Amino acid sequence: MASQLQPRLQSLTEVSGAEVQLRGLHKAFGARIVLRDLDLAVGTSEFVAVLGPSGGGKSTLLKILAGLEPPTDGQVQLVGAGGGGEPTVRIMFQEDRLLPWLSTLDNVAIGLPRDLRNSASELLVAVGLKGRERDWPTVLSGGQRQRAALARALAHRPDLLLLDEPFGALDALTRTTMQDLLLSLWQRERNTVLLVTHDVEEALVLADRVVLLIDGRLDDDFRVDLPRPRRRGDAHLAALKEQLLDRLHQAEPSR
Amino acid sequence: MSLEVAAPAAPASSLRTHRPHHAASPALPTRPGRRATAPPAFVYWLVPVGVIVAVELASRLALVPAWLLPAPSAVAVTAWSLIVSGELPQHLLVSLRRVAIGLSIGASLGLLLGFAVGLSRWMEALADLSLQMLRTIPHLALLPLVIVWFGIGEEAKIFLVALGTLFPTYINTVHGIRNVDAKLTEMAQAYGLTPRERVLQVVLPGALPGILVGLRYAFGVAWLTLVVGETIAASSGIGYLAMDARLFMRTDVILLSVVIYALLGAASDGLSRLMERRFLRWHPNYNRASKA
Repeated sequence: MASQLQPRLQSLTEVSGAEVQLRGLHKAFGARIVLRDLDLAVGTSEFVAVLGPSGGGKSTLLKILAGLEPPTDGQVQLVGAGGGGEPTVRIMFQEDRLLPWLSTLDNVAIGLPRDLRNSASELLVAVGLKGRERDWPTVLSGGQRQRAALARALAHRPDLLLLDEPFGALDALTRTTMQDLLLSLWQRERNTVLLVTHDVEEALVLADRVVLLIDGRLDDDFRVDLPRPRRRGDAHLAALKEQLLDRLHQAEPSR
Repeated sequence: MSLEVAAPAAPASSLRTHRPHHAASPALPTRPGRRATAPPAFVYWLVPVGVIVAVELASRLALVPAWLLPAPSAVAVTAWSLIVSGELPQHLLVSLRRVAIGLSIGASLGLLLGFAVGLSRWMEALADLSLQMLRTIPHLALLPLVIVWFGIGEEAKIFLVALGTLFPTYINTVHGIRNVDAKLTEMAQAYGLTPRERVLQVVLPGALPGILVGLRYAFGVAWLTLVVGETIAASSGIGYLAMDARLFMRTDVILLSVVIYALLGAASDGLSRLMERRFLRWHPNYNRASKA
């Protein structure tokens, strides 16, 4: 199985991620302003973590990028790999959102064109769910369901992968396993990733770049220049984490 | 700090050690612990069989006059003779046909209207209030009017059955659609499903538990409607058989009709349960209840 997987993943390295350009992005629900005048540029195959307190507009940002919410004002520009065509965007949510009436495999294959259907079973293998193809999602554990949801998002070979607190509901051990899995898949597929998270450590372990979104504004934007694989106990990482947590705590009472 | 140092070692091993546990666990919930002291099968039949035996005895010992309450054995004999003469199958077919046609019309309309109202705000604004108002009319109260309109022909019964089954199907379909998790439809949208595909792959299966409840209820209404319709305004069918027998004080035939109605009701209930088990295999609740 693994040998079958290899050629496809190799071919994917040419298909690298989309470029994201946000200019003056503004979003309001009635009188409530969620995103204010947001400028953000994400490069091809970049892994960006969006951190911030809840209610800071993180999820709304992802929904706009996924085409699920229209922006109130401003520009959203997505440029696919090689500049040609509409880039594929897929989103993974905190809840698995698997359809309970479809088998795990059919869930992963949802919306896939016929010629890409076997990539669904390949990805199920890649996320460690080999042999569970025909099971209903209800008999899978929480971690396994998130694995299936990740496989579903990746099966579309997205140029831009949006992750909305994908591991927030998992126990700590499963979460680190999933983070490592995500990282290894990203390192092979090289899609552009936008990860929204509450978890400062998760952002620092995974991302090339961390963006702080507070009160709908871009509060900070910096690179994480640590070599991979990053150890969660690394001193430099711990110092960064401390710093970021302070920032977030300061932001908290203002709301 | 010591915790953080330990963390990096965890992922690789947790993947290995977790999997066997998960692989074994799914078998457990699908086979819920059968109660340790489950009563033997015959216990379930003790009461109904006892009642039949008691009635038989009461009639045989002339505790109750046979013309008031005929013995079950006498009813069985009557059933046999009516089957042999072809009378019973003929009436039975007529009744089945009425329910089949009426229910098909009523349930299809209910489903259609339910989907229209459940999926479109405009259709809801346009149709829901009117349907809810119509629903408050007991459809059997329309019987005199229906007789004026259609006489006592087939149309009258089919119309009433269709009318009676439309509303339970409609209401439960709308309810089922409303209950579909909006997060799932949002996911489907984000994964590039067209509105049509979303309805077929997400809304319809998600609403199916509700729709099947409506259908099961509609079955019950259909038979009830038919009993009334056939008893009051018919020249054929099981209800007519009973009313005709009344003229000759044939209580055995009347009782037989009642038993047949009961069997038909039970059969259609079984049919809807079969559909639930077939279409809701994925649903843990139905999956587990499948021993019933």
